[in-house]
Order: sequence, then structure tokens, then C-alpha cells
Amino acid sequence: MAAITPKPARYGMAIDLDRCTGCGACMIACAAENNVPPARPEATPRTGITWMRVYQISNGAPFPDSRAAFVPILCQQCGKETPCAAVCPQEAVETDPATGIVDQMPQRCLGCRYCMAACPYHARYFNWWDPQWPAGMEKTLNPDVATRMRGVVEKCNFCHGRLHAARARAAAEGRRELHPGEYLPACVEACPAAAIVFGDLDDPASEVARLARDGQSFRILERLGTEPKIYYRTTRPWVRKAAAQPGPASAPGKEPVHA
Amino acid sequence: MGFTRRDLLTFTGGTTAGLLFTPVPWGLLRDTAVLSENWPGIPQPLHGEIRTRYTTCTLCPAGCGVRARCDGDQPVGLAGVPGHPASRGVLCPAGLVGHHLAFCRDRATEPLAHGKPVAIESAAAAVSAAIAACGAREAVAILDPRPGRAASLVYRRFLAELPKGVHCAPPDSQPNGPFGIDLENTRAILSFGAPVLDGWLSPGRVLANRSHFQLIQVEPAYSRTASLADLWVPVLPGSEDEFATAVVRALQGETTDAHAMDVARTLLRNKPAIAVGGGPAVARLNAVLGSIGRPGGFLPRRDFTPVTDIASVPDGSIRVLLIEETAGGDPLPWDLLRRKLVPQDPVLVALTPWLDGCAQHADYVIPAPMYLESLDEAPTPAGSTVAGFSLSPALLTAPPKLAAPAGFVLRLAHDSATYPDILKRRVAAIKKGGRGAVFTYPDAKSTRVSDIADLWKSMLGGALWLDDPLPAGTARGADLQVCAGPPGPALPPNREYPLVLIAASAPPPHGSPLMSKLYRESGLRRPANAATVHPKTGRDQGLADGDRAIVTSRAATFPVQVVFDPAVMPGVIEMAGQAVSPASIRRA
Amino acid sequence: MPNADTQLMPRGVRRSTPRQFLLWILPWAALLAFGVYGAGLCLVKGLNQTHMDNRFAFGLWIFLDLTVIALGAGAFFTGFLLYILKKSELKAVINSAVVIGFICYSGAVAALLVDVGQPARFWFTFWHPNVHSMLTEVTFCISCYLTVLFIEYIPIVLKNRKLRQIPSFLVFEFELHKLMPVLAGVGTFLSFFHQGSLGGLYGVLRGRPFAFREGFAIWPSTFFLFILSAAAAGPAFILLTTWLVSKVSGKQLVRPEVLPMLGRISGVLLVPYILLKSIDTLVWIDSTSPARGFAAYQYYAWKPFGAWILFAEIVVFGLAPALILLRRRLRESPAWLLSAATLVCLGIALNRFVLTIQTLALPTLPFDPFMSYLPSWQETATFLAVVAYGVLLYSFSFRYLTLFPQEKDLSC
Repeated sequence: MAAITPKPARYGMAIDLDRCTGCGACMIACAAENNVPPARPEATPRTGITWMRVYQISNGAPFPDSRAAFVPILCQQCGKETPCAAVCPQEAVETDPATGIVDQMPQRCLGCRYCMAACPYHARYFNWWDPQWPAGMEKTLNPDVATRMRGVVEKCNFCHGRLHAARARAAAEGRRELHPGEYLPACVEACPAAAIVFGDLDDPASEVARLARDGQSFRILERLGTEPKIYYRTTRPWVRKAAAQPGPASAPGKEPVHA
Repeated sequence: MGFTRRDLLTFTGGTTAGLLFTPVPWGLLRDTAVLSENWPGIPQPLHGEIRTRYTTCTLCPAGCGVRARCDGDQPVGLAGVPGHPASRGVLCPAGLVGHHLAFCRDRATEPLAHGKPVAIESAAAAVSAAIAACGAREAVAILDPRPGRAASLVYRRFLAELPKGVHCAPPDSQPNGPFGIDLENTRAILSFGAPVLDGWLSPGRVLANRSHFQLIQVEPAYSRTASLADLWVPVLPGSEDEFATAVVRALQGETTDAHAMDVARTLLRNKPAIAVGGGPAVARLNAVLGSIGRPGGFLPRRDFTPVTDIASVPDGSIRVLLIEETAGGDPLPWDLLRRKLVPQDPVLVALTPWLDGCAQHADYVIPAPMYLESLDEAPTPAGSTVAGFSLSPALLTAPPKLAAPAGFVLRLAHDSATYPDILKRRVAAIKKGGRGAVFTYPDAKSTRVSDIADLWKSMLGGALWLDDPLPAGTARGADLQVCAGPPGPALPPNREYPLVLIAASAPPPHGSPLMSKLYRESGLRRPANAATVHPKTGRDQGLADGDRAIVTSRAATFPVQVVFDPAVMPGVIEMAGQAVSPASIRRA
Repeated sequence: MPNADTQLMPRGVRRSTPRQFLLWILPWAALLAFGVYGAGLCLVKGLNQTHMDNRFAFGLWIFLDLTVIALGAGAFFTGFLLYILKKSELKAVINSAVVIGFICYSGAVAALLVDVGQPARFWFTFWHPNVHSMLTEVTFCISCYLTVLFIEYIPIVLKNRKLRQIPSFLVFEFELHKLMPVLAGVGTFLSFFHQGSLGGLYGVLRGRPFAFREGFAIWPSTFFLFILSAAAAGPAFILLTTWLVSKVSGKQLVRPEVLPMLGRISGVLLVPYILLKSIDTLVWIDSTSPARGFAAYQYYAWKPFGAWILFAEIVVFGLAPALILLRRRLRESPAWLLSAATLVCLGIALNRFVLTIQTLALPTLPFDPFMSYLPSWQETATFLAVVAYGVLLYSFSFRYLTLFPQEKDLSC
């Protein structure tokens, strides 16, 4: 059978902040899909692995005018001068030109954490411990994703295991192109509010390309010039200001309380 | 000419240089890489055949369809069923990792009698003996968390044979009685404390319709729903009914209360509108809004059997209480349950998969299978406007020594039928009724019941049966029975208890350790021991943000960690899972 | 009374008795053992033994590594001045500078091996180098420079009274000495690059507008500022250590004019550094940071890092000691000289601290809080192990090797 070269794409997302209810289903689906281990008892909120992480922002008004919004942050798959890829001394970070996905190779990572200092979205996480699951729960590990060991960095890769599976299925049927919806990262599939739209930003017919172009979409820390591929949308001016405004906000958030 | 120091140096130098040309050092170097990449002790996933299997989630009354990706026989990933009429292809965070529950540490694994392991037969014999020993005025009760199931019928039949058997349910298990909510056509929801955007009815259905309705949230707590609602009306704790009455008056043009008028205006501009949650005044409000029996409002179902609310059972009347707990494990109102038991030697039987819920207080613990471990059922999905039923086929093998709650009660009744037999009978009854259609999960198709040859087989493959709707005009306003909503504080705040303790939204008490980890790390849900207060309230009580403190109410005392949040109503303490009551707080 | 121990010592100088020496060594050895235990915990149990986390990916170790490497720059700079620019007065301190440099670099490399998550993969950088990464450059250069320092250390060791009696060692040392200018040149070249790249590590972080700087071609301005500041700090650190060793050993080790000369070199280099740093800071405040959407004053709104830090770094720890060190009368006064040298070294430490710790503490996402971090005892212990190792190695070197050639003349 002749080899099928998949059609190149530039995958991105459009996340509707007006729909997100902060339920955390995306975080949980991501962790389950990507074999993220439960936290050790001695872990703190800042040593955990959350490839997808939902932040809560507020309009800064006190009771009774307070309102909340929720911002899911994942690796923004920076397209230009990708900060993490530029700084890794071992080239353990690679941008796939056929998909635009910034891929992390934990097997090559030295654990120097320079990429973590470089990422402005704090989307990279270090394995401070060896992963450990409660007895028997290792049976629930996803066979399509490798487990990692301690001392290496990991991050969102748009569930590239699912991409490979979708491509294999398409190739078996002799197709070069994936149908829309054939390849979806776990977070996109899991969102109960359908707040995340995923697709090929370079395909003018795709929903995500249309959403990215319209006036309601913005990107976070856009002025840093890294060309992230995650677009956020909202009709609420205060949400846009709080999420898009670069630099420390006037009403800084709090670190989560932990027991 | 012996072996001199120079010879040694030359030999060493030569060997070192020569070794570099052999594979030895490079091989050793590569081995370090291989070792570091195959770190010993890291669990590896299994690699079996990948299959898709279907079931229904029973963690909460929403009854969402579940599509399980299985590696061999082990589910490794759960997702929603596209096109599912109740869940719209969605699973909530708890449902997404329901397959982890079987591995949670605090599950009950064997029958216990007074804390000691026993055989199931001994436990059953002891419970039967306790039941037989009941006095004339002493009741045997079964607390059923999901009335309306085939299992509920088993309980009712068993209790009917006893001199004084009471089938009851926790407060608020049948919030709208026989009525479902026509969310698809609603244009405004006035919610009195119902967690509309945070686990109400079926989350997928609510969120799919979110853009169609205005949401007004009336509650004192700064809950998830309140923070996202189109309008939040923070009434004082316990005054929800008062406000509902004010809105009724505003709708009739009889008041100048600004908030009530605001709300009334929104309701009038966005029709049809409904009011959910709350107490008796809300029923009146719905009547005024004309939401009973009309599209966009409350529509009656065929299948409703009212169940006694345990709050209305006379105090001190229950000798033997069997409590069924679900894997989703909503916390039970312990003070209330304790009041209903006889003061001397009551017998408490916990039919539960968990060791840390009612099992802690029980004389006998009968370990129930965990979610996905045995064939189960999901009754009418919460909020559905037609009756429904689905099976929840097992995806995991249950460990030995477990007994399904309904199976245990069948044993007590000396009935030779098993729980699966009961479920078969239920499905046969549906087939016999000939009404409704079956949505099968694998192909997302809906087929009339009459067109299905083997309904049991269809249901076992993952399906949802939905009845036909009742003809229009069947309902009357007076039929809407609303359970008593959150009670007001027993006493208003006073000097001893200057603040009011109210419930904050919280994740389910039992869940995958991944869920608790992620909520903790992101701060999306505060931990169970967090007491959130307005900064001014906190400072007035001599507290600082992050302090360890003690919250005291009339019923109990809790150690807490203080969190300051200016979004919270001054004068209240928000804590997860608490009933409204006056309370005080002081630094620990 | 000559014995095996005294025969190892350089001729014509007095050293403490073996018992006194042992009393000096023992506490440092104990500290080293404790520190090795702390480091061992980090290696065996993993980096969760530290208080670093996903936001503070770098902590105490990186900050201290950068600082000691900058302070150890005295080795290359003194070598450059002596062997290339032929400033022969520096012969008085070159050996000590090389030993200190060796200690600083070997200690930093040891700490780095504990700091990375997978030390067994250290060679991956050499096998899969990323030519765009400053850290690759740092790795290569520091490895090479450590080798150079090691080679420069060998002649000092081989000149030991006993060892030079072995003819092959004597010849080897003689040949090596002829190479010294070459080694010094290579060392200077390598140091230039890695001191700069250490600055470049932070200057290229376009995701951290607090640290990001534009510069010349691929090199941000911090590249050049780090080189200058290291060159300025090196002599100051040598000055301080020489004085310290002098005090501890109770001997005069160098002629009185040597220390002020080192101070002057430091002062002369500080002036262009302060000037360039001030210009760089102004450019950053005015255009680099705002172009990224971050107004500079916003960084300093986060307590406890207010604008006083900037003032302290440039004026208190930079301009002030420069002015002191440039005035002959003040240089001649030991109190002024030492205070100024201390200020210079502290200023370097503060500069590295700002770029490592403060950069990570400041939020980049608009809805993020300011982060704080305090090292765990294991981290502190590891650092103290490096200090103890340095003191021990230096003590043995001082006892048995000629670190200060002028000592013999001054002790008569």
C-alpha cells in the first residue's frame, strides 16, 4: 500500500469564555487521557501537573456586584520564535511543521527547567516526583500515551496520540485529509458547554478559522509576539480586559487555598 | 628492566585513549540514557485490544450516557454518547473519571457487623432478626436515594409485608414531583438556590440551552451559578420565600421593591419563565407565571410515585433503618436521620460502597458494588418531561463479597429473584406497555419500542427508553408539589452566633483522586474545610486571610481555614455541605 | 622539626601545626558531610525535596551558581591581565585566583548536576545540541573552561615541594607553564562567552518581559552586561578572599600595593558597567518592556520588590563602590577598600538575584498572583556543601602549595 502523506494543517483552538462555567471537565479529561498521576500527599498546588488548567478571574467588584469568569489555559502552541523550543539545550522540544503542534519529548529532557522559565503562560510542568497511582488504578492508564518519569518536563501536545490514531484510521481508508471532528483533543471532546472549538486555522472553511478572524477573538499576551494559536472569545468587556490586558492586573488574583 | 612508573603511566594513557575507539564507553553512555528513559517502577499501560462499550452513568440522577473506551476489559477513558437525549453527548467531571472510583481507597470491601467482618448470610440473618424484633409501634424504614427505580419497587414490596414499613427518601429527592422541565423552550429561569450551571438536572442539556434563557439566581451564597448568572439577587439567608412573594406582588404590580421589580421585568420580557428551587412561595410564583403544564414550563410525566420525605416521618419512630448510598455519594443529613431513630438501640444498616459515609455510624455495613462493577439501572433522567429508563451494564468485574442493595433486600425478603431478574421484569414491562422509543447509544438511533425485537439485548448494549409525552393540558397548577426548600435559620443571628453559616458549592464528596487534585491545584473548588468570609466580616471577627479557625454552630463545631473573598455576602460564612444555621467563628 | 607533613609545605613559610589544621578542617568536613547528605536526598528522592515548584523552576541553586561563576571570573580576568596584558604585579595573586576559580566552577557544576531532574542525561546536551539555546552555549563553554582551569591548577600542584622532586612532573610542569599564555587566552575567550551567555539566558526570554532585553544581533544586552560585571567583580572578590585568607592565617600574603591595585581595576571596570547598565535600564523602561505590553512601573508594584531594588543595584552597590575604588586615598584605607569590594560582590549577587528570583516571582499572566519562594534545608545544605568543599580545597592548597609567591619574602 502506498504511504499516505497527511495534508499539512495548523491546529488551533477558539475558546468561548462566555460559555465556560469553570466545571473543570477539560482539566479532568486531559489528565485522564494523558496518564497524569494523582497528587502525592505532600504535593502543593504549585507542584502539580495540569496540562490544562482553568483559572478563575473576577470583575474586581465587591459584593454584590462580583462576577466571575473562567479562563482555561493550556499550551498556546506558540507559532513564532517559540520560547520553549528556542531555549531547550537538548532540542527536546520540536515544532511539527505539518501540524504546528509544539511537541515535548520527555525521554530527551534533562530536567533543567529552562523552558519552564521561558514559557509566559506557565503551561509547562515538571515531574517533581515519580508518578504513583492508587493500587489497581494503573489499569486505567491510556495505552496511547507514554508514562513519564520524575525529573522531566511535560506539557499539552494537543493529544497527539489521538492525532496519530485518527491519521492511521484515515490512511487505512486511503484518505489524506481528516474529517472535521475526527481528531479532537480530550478537552475539546469533554467540555460540557462546547466552549472549545478545535481545528485547522489554515483551513478557511473550518469553524475555528472563522472564529479566530472575527472581532471578538483575542489572544493572551499577544504583544509578546509569540503568535499563540489559542484564541479566546468573549462579549463581556471586563472579561476581555482582565484576560487580555498584559501585565499585572489591578486586582491581582489569589493563590489557591490548600488544606 | 622492570615495570617502572613510566610504563604504568604509558599503559594507562594508552588504554584510556584506545578505549575511546571501542564501543565500550559509548555503549555505557547509551545505557545511562536507556536506563533513565525506562525508569524502573513507573507503571506502564496495558496493551490489549481496544473496544468500545456503552453504559449509563449512575453517579447522579442525570443518567448521562457513557461511551467507554476499553483496553481489553478495562475502561481506560469515558466520554459522552453523542445525540443522547438527556445528556447531549456530555459527561460531567465526575462522570469522566467514574472508572477510577473502583480503585479508591475508602471503599467498603466486605460485610461488617459492628465493625467486624462477617459473611453476608450472617449479616442478613442479624438484620432479619432485628426487623423481627421490632415492637408494634416501631418502624422499619429504607432510605432510598433515587426513588422511582425498579430497586425502589423491591423496597416497597418488602416493606409492605412488614407490620410497619416505611419507604422514604432524603429531603429534596423529588424536587418537582411528577414534573419535568421543558428547558428547550424556557426563556427565563428564576432559581432559588438551585445550582443551575453547576450540576443541575443534566449538565449537557442545561448548557446546550444556556443561550436561550435568562438566568436569575436568588441565593445568599456566591455560588458558581450566582457568579455566572445574568442577574444575582443576594437575599439574606432564609428569606428566599419572602423574596418569592415579593416577586409575585411585583408581577401583579403591587410592590415598589426595586430588586423584585427588576426580576419581574426580566420575567415578563422573557416568556415562558419558570421558577425552580425554593419553598412553598415558589409554587405560587409558578402558578402566577403560568408555567405549569405549558411549553417552556413544568410538564407532567406518567411515572411518578410520591415517596415519603424522611423529614416528615415522626421522630423516634424508626427501629431499623436501612440506608442506601450511591457511589456518587451525596452527603446525608445526619442530625435529621438520628432524630428519626428510636432513642434506645436503633439498628442502622448501611448499603453502601463507601466506608466513610453512613457506614461510619452503621451497625451493619453491606458493601455495595461500585459504579461500573455490576448491572444497575438509571431511572427517569432528572428534569425529563417524559418517563425514562436505562440500564447501566457493568464494565468491570466486581470483587467478591459485595451485595447490591436491592439484592440484599431481596435476600431479606427470602425472594429467590436476583436484582438482574428484577431489571429484566422492568424492561419486560416497558416492552409490554408498547409506548415510547429507545435511543440506542452505539448507533445514536431512536426506534419505537414496538419495533424492537429483543429490548433487553438493546438495553444491555447501552440505550435509553423514553416514554411518550402526556397529552397537553393534563396538569393543573395545584399538582405541582414542591418540597420544602432550604429552611431558614432556627434562630436569627444573635450575640452568641452573630453570623450565618450557608452552603457553598462543592465537588462531590467521593471522586477520583485526579478530580480532587485538579480542583485543589487550580483553586476552582475550595477544599471542604475552607470557610469563606467577606474581608470586613473576617476582620471584625479578629481573623486574617489564611488563618486556622473554629466555626461553631448549634449543631457542631468544625476546624476550618479562613479564606477572604470580597465577593461573599458580609455577615455569612460559606462552607461546603452545610445547612443554614447561625454560627460563630474565632481564630484557632 | 621537619616531618612528612612539613616537607610537603612550601619552603620558607610557616603553617599551622597539624593539630591546629585538623581543628580548622573538622567543622568544614562535617558541614560537607551534612551538605552531601542534603544533596544525596535530592538525588535519591527527587527534586521534591526542594521548595522549587512549577512557577519557581529556578531557585537558590541557580541564583548561587550564577553568582559564584561571576565571582570566580577573577580567575580568567586576572589571567588575561597577567599573561596577555602583561601586568606582572598580578603574579602575586594569580595562583590563588586560579584555585578560587576552580573551586567556584567545579562547585557550580556539581550543584548543577543535582539541580537537573535527570543528571544521568547530562551528556544529551553535547549529543543533541540546540544551537539557538544560550544554555547549550553555557554548557559547552563551562565544561571547556572547567577543563582549562583544571589544567591551570595542575602546575600549581606540581610545583609542590615534594612533587617537583619527581623529574617527570617537573618537566611536565615546565612544559605546561609555557602554555600558560595560550591557556589564559583560551580561558579568556571561553569565559567571555559563558559569562555572557549566562546573562543571555535571561535576556532572550521573550516570555518574561521583566528580563527580556534587545541587544546586538542574537545577543541581548544582558550578555554584555554580565561580562562587564563579572570582570569588575572578579578582582574585587580576589581582593576580599586574599584579605580573608590573610586574616585567618595571620600572615601577610601580598605586598601592600597589590590589594589597592585590584580595587582600582575593579573600580575602572565598574564605571562603564554602571553607565551601560543605566542606559540599558532606561531603554528597557522606555521601550523594550512597554513594547511587550508591560509598563515597567508595574513590576515594582509587587512587594517586597519595590523600585528600591533597582536603586540599590545601580547606585548603592554599583556607583558608590566605583567612586570609592577610583579614589587613591580611599583605596589605601583598608576599611574603605574592603567595604567597597564587598559592595561590588554583593551588587553582583543582587543583579543575579534580580534576574533569577525576581523574574520568576513576577506574574506574566494577567490573572496570576505574585509568587514567593524560600529554599528548603536540603537546598541550603547543598549550597553549604559547595562552600565547605571550597574552603577545604583552598585550605589544603594554601597549606601545601604556593598560592601567594610574595608570602615568602614578606614573612622574613
